[in-house]
Amino acid sequence: MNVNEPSTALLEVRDLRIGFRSRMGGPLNEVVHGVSFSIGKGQVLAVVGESGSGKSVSALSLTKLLPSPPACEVSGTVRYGGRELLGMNERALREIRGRHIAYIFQEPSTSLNPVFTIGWQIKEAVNLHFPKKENVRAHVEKALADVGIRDAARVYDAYPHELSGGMQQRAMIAMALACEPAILVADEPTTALDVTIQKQILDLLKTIRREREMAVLLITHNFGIVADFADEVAVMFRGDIVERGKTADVLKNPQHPYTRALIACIPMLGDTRQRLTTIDHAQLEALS
Amino acid sequence: MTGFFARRLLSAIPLLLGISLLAFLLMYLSPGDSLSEARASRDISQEFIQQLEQERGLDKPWYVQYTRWLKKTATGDFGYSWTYKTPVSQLLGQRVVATLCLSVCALTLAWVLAIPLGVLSAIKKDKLFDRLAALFAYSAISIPSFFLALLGVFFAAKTGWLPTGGRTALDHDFLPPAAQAWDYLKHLALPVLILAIGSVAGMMRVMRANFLDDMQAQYAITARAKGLSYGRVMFVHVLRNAINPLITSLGFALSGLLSGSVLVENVLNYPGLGQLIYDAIVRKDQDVVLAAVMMGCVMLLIGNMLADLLLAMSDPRIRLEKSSASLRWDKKRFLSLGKIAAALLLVCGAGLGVYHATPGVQKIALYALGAVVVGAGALCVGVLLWMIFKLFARLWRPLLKKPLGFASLGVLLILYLLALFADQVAPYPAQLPNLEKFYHPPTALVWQEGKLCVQQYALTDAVTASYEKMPGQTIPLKWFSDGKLFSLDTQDTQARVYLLGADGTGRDLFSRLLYGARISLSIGLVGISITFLMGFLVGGLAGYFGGLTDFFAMRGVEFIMAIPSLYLLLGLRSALAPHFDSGQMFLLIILILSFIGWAGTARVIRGMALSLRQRPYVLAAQACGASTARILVKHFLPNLASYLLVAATLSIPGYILGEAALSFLGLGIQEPSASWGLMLKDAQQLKIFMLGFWWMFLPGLAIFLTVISFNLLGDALRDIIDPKMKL
Repeated sequence: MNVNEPSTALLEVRDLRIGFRSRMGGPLNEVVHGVSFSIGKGQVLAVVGESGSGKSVSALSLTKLLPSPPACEVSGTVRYGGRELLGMNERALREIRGRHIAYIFQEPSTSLNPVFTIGWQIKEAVNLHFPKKENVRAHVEKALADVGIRDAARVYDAYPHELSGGMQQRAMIAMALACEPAILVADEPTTALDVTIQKQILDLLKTIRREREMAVLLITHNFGIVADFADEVAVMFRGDIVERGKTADVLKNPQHPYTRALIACIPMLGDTRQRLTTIDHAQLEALS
Repeated sequence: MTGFFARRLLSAIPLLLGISLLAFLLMYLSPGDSLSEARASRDISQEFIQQLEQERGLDKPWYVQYTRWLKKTATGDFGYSWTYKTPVSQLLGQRVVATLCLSVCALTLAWVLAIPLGVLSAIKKDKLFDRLAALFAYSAISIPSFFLALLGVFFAAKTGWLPTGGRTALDHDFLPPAAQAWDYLKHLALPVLILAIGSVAGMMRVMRANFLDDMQAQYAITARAKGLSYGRVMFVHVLRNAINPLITSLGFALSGLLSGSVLVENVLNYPGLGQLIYDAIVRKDQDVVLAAVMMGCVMLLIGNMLADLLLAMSDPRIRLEKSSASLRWDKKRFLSLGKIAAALLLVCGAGLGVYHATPGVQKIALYALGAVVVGAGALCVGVLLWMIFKLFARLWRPLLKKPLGFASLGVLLILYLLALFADQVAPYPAQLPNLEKFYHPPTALVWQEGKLCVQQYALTDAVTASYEKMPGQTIPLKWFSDGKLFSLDTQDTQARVYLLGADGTGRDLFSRLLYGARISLSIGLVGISITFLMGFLVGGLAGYFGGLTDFFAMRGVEFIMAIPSLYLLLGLRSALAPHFDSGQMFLLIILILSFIGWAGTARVIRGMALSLRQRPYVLAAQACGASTARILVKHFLPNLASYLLVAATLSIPGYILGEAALSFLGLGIQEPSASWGLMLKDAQQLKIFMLGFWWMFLPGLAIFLTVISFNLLGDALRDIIDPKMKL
């Protein structure tokens, strides 16, 4: 089912296992059990699954953003452009973070630091990765304008609480894109926003991805936004990838019962059903 | 910005007026005036005193005097100090500078120490550094500031590195400027250090908790995802957020320092505002008291304003222009306002009536008041004990798993048992002197002929009070006789066993410590019961009813909280004390401490009640037709019980320290009764420092042990009930 040739993949993850310890010396609770996937250049991979299935921790573990051992143990391989990320030291990883792999998160209002201006926070990232760059302010304002913020000069000096949720997420995206990363990890970028803003942000991500040929790892629990955005879909269920393939194939012809259940949960316009579908976990467990 | 300052200053005027009126009334109600001394001496003629009375306006009724004072103050004339024979403004000028110097230096030092310590212990959570820092914090919170000051003076006297008190050396005026500055610094070092240590611990714990919270924040992950280094994430992104709550507490920290400095200034003989107010209250120097209390309040207000300003600069989400919600006035509101005013007037009238009534009526009124207080106290203690019993039935099992909490519970149990059985355990009554054995060192115990025996000593030098062992002379102890745990088996009535040495009149320190424990250990329990019942009633009702009740309850609370507590304590004490004999002093102290203490509790409980009121189960109870009392007792109390238990355990130390401070200043329990603070007062003599009578400091150690046990127990209970509880 692997569509990509391993050699052309930009990011390749093999047998990723993540476990947490809640106490010192306590038992290791494995939440991701050996996940493998890869993303090619300019490709969009959507990881779909319900909350607690291990999507977000998998995304954070790519550049070791999870707590350090013994609270959290990560094993497996994550190869980016031929380099092994999990074995890298902190200093080398910092070069990757933001510059090559950038993140945007679910809740823009808590993801931005409340006591610094938007411009300051973006500038900080630019200064870090391009220390020789001149006229950083102009660069940052362009980055803000690129994500559809009209009065970029005003937003530059604004504090996060002075912006609406949609504007905050745009600013987050501008911050992630300011250093022109090769991969954007979008961890549920639209979950905390209302529906009209969701559409705008998704359209923005689509345009940017097309213009810059940037790879996107989209993490979501919503099959609805996957259909017209992702090239490939991986379905995660309780720490395992249970199904993977081209988006159209998976949507049209889901193989795994969990995938079928997830797709059945999408409410449709004009649907005459009286109840929303839920997932029957007991039945799924009996199957697997 | 200017608008903000103008508004704040305008809103401070009623507060200042209220505080000045309160201070004035307290001064007026306390018997005697600045002429009492002159009246007592025979060689001052009656006419001269009357002339002075007219000059100072003392012959007029209080409201005339007060308006006269107000008019004078409004024109910038603060009056004249009758004891120092100088204008008050001149006197205050020197003192305010000294106290500001002290407070600002101490606050700066506390911040400089607390922020790095708090941050480091958050980063190194549960590592050795964190544990050591916690140990330091617990010790520093639990040690009474005046005891620390005493130890500091002891240290300075022993080593001679620092001056033992004052603000300048004797030859200060003859020194070159550089040496003068050095002299100032040297005299500042000890008081600043002592005040800073007192406040560093609390700030450090706040800083650590904030930093731990903010380390988990999503924006910290964002910052790391940008590729920033760990240090930059922690010290730029997290620190800027975690420091904001500390800035908010700046005003309170300043108020605490102003209050705390009275004691430290007293011990170190530092000529500051606190010392001045204390002296002036004792000597009834009316203009000085009023002006100095006003000054203290103004400094506090400025501190609060500064804190708000700093916070607005540090946290962009805070806006200075935000004004509090205004009240709508209608007929109903005016009616209930009238009711409240009428009730207040009635109480004031009754108070004044009793004050001017015949001694017989006064006595009856006092006994009635005493009966009410004792009854209310007993009821409170009953409710509290019942709550503690109910909660401990649930909590003792998890407490077993916390070694520190369990150990402190054990220590407290032993202390309470010792205090309860003081009559049996103590070998001598608290007041029994032995003038031949002043400052006797602790007696050595030796094992002879199968019996525990007490070594005997002979006085070798009466001037330095040095004793020497008399070889071979011992007296065996006998156990369980005459209702005592142990006593000396001898006919000699002058022989003594001093387990912990003797004081200046040869009284047994061990016995006095045990009897003193009765006061220190019970004052916290009784005080906290009254405080919490009052806090629960006022806060609960204010939160439950909201609106006007809430408005007035909270203004009252703010009023009490705005006065530096030790000044209020001193004022109340000197106004009320002469009406009580020393036996009732204990009750009086509890009453005063509770009167000051309930405000903070009421505020917190009001906040909790506000949120509880919105809960569906309270609405459900209301819908079922439950009465207010029933909702308060059956629905609010159980939900607040665990919070109240933890808060109570953590605030008992305040009462113990408060009583000790009052007694230490000579305003609490009086000789010859024993109280830990009073016993420490005896240790405040240069002779004791110089000759090294270390056992005189043991009462301080006893206070420290009790207070740290309560603090550790409270923290352990909080961890069990709710680790995220902000206390």
